[in-house]
Amino acid sequence: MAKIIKTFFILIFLFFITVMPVKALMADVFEVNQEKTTSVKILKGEVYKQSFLSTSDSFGIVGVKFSNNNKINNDVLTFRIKEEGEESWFYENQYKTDQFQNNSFFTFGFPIINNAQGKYFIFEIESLSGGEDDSVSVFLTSNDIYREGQLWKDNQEEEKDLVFKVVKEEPAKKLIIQDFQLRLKEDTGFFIFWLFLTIFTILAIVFLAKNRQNEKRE
Amino acid sequence: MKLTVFQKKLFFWLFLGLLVRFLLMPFFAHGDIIAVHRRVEQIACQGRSLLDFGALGVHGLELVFTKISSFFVPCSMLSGIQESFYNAPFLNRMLFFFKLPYLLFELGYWALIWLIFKKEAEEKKRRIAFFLAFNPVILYSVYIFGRFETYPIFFSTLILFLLNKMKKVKFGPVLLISLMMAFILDIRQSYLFILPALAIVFGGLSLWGILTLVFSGGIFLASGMLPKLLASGSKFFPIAGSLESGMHTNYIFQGAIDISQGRLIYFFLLLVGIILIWWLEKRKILAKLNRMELFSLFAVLIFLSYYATSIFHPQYLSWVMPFFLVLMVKDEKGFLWRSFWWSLPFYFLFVLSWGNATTFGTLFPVSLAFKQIEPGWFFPIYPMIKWANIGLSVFAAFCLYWIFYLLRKYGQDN
Repeated sequence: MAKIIKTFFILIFLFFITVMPVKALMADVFEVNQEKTTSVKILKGEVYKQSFLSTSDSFGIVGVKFSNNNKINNDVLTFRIKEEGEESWFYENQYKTDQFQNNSFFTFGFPIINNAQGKYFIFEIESLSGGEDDSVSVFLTSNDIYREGQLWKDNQEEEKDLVFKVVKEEPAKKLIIQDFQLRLKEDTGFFIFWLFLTIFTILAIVFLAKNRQNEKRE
Repeated sequence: MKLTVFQKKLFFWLFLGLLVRFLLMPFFAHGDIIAVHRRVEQIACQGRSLLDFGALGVHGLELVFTKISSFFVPCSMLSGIQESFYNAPFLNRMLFFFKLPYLLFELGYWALIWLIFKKEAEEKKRRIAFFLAFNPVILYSVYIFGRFETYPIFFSTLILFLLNKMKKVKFGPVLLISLMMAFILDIRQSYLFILPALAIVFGGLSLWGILTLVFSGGIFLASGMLPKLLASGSKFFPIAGSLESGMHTNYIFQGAIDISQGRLIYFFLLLVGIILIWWLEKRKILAKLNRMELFSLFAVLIFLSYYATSIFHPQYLSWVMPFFLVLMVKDEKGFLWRSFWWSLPFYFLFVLSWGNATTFGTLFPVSLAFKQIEPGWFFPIYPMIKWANIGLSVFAAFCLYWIFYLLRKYGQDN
C-alpha cells in the first residue's frame, strides 16, 4: 500500500515538475468567428483593414484565420497595427506565407500593448506579391457580426468582418485554475456526485486494507 | 460469504484500480470520443439514421448507452458538443457517462478472466489482479485517450472463455464464437488480422475451421454491409471502397521494402506468413494445447507482428491484452510478465509522436490551456519525433523478441 502511494505521489510530482517550466500560455481575449464563413484570396496590393475594441488591459498577439488553398505559397504579407487615431503604426512586419497552415489562425505577435482596455485598435494585412495561383485566403464572416469593429477592403467599408482573434499571454497556472473553477461552477451537481462515488471507493479500499491487517495480526 | 485474507487483498487491488479509473474518467479525453458522440447525438437526438454512418457496432452500442444515460445527459446537454468540440458545457459529466459503459465492459472482462483463472495458484492470481487493475495501456487507451477498446476486449475474452469451456467442437458454440467475432469486427475491423488464429483453433482448413471463417466473415459482412447495401441500393460492397481508400486496416501495407522495380515485400505479411508456416510444421505439437491457449498464442503472434511492423494508434495495443494475459499466466518462467512492464516506457515514448493530442492535450476537459503545451518543449538534444521513433524502435524489438520467444517455447515437443 505504502509503495503504491509513494509511486502515485512521485508520478504527480513528476507531472508538476514537467509542467512547472510552462510559465505563460496564450489566452483568447475574444474571437470574431461564425459557423459559415467564406474564404477570399488576398492578391497583390490588396489591403484588409479591421478595427476592434480591446476588452483586455493588455494584449500582444492578433490571430487571423487563413487558408493556404492546399498548397505552399510564396507570397509575403505585411501586418501592421496601431491605436485608432494614431498617425504612425505601432508595429509592422512582413511574413512569408509558406509557413501558413490551412484553415488555421496565424498569430502575429508584437510588443505587448498595455493600458488597452476600452480603446480601439486597427490592424492591416497587405499582400506584396499574391497572384491568382500563389496566394493565401483570409476568411470573412457572412454579415457584420462584430459591431464594435469595422472591416475595410482597399479603404472601402464592408458589411462583414475578418475572422480574427485577439490573444494575450497569461501564466499557465492562472489559466488552468480559472478554467477548472469555471467547470466546477458550471456543473456542481455532477462534481458532488462524482466526489461521493470517489469517497465511497476510497472508504471501501481503506476498509479492505484495515480488515486484512487485523486478520493478519490475529 | 466470508472472504479469505488473500481474496481481500485481490479486492483491495481491484477497488484501487476502480478508484484510478474514477479519477481519470471526467478529466481526460482525446477529440475522437467527442467525434463519435457527435455522430451518436445526431442519431439519438436529431433523428438521423444509424446507417448514415460507418462502424455500425460502435455507433449502435454507443447509441444504446446514450439512450440509457439520457436521464443524466439529456439531448439538450448533448447538443453542446455540436456547438463546441473541445469546450462544450457539462463536458466533464458527459465524459464520465460516455466512459461508464467502457468501465462496465471492463468489469465484465475482469469477471471473465476471474472465471477462467480462478483455479490458478495465489501468486499468479495476484499478478492477474494487478495486471487487470493497473494495466497502463488500458488506463491510457480507455480512460485517458477515451476510446471504446473495452468493447472488443470484452468480446474477445468471452471467446477465450467459451474456448476454455469447450470440450468438444460442436455447431452451437462454434456459431456463438463466430457471432462474437463478427460483433468484434463490427466494432474494430482490424481484428480481421486474427481471423486465421480462430480458424487454426478449429483445425485450420478443416471443416470447422472453414465454418468459423465463413460464419464470422459472413455475419460481419451481413451485419456491416447488408443494411448499407439496402439503404444505398446501388453501392455494392461499400466496405471495399473504404478499405481501399486507406482505412486503418491498411496500415499493414505501409511497412514494406522495395526489392526492385516497385515490387514490394510487406513486413507484416512476411511475418504472419512465417507464423502460419511455423504452424504447418508444428501443428501436431500445437494440437495438444487447450483451445483458449492456442487462440491466444496465434492472436498474440499476429498482433505483435502488426505492432512491430506497422504504424498503429496508441490505443490499438490494448487489443492484445486478454490474449497476452493468457500466455503470461501460462509462462512459468515469468519472462512475459517482467518484460511487459519493461516495454511500457518505450511504448509511452512512442505515444509522444502525436504530440500534444496524445499527451497534455488529453487534459483539455480540465482546461483548454493544456492544448497549448507541447511535449516537445521538455525533450532535450533531439526533436521529439526522434525520441518517439527511438521508443517505437525499442518497442518493436520487444514485439519481435516476444514472437521469437513464443515460437521457441511452443515449438518444443515436451
